[in-house]
Amino acid sequence: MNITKLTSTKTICNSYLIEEDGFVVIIDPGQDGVVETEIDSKGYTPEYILLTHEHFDHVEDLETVRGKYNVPVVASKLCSERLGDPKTNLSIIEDILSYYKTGVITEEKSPRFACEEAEITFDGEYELQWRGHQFTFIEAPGHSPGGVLITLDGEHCFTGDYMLLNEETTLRLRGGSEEDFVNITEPIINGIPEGTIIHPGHGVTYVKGQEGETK
Amino acid sequence: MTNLEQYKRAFMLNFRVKEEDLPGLEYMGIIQWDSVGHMDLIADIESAYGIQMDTKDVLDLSTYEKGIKILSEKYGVNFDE
Repeated sequence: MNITKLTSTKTICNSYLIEEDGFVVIIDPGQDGVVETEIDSKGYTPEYILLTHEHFDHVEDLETVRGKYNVPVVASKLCSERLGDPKTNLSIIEDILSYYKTGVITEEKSPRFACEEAEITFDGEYELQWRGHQFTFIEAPGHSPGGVLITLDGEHCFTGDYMLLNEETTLRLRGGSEEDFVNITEPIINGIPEGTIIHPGHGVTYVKGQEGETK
Repeated sequence: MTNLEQYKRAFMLNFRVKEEDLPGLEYMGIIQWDSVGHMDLIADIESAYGIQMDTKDVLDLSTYEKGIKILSEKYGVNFDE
């Protein structure tokens, strides 16, 4: 199994490809066509798209990718519902948020977009078996209502906008909740075993408990 | 609801301020109107008037009064109705 991190330039957002024998699972299609370019250049066959949460930087290419490869999307029920509105997927604030992150004013306005709902949705927890691997989803609200943490084989955790190295979790974006984070998600994060490889939605990959030694 | 009422409402709901606090209100002048609060404010203003503002104008909208000027002069929002 190989894990490839792909980073968009627009908002420096990470997407991931999990590859096994030429077949791949996509975690967050992201932006800028980075996922599509990698899949086509390597000749991979996508089988699932998994979403960590509904925010535009993680899903702007969702419809392009799911349409091109005709693969099902797995997301929490709330994430799925919130994909379909620019005010809840936050594409309505993409330009100004990109400016705050990069300091660059883009002349071209970003599209406000809406995505179709996911084909597979769940409340609470969900498990997906794939080519000898197990993905475990657990709902993790706080940064966004539809957020999840996705564990792979108990060794890797794809955290979306949680657990960014040396960054506090942003809880004030529309739909965010400090109360949900403290009561629900923070205990889950604290329970992730040390030694787990953390793959965040922005920034570097690292090992929990060894944050000084980034990968 | 008039355009002015919608404009005031966007400020009052996002920043939890009263109508009498609006004149002179400026970006970073209160704790709620920081960059995150600004994004929420712009989202509500754009939704209210069905517009998409240029990023430069979003950044220029740094006071309650400037917002009225930008919206009326550049986006045709009529505040006199």
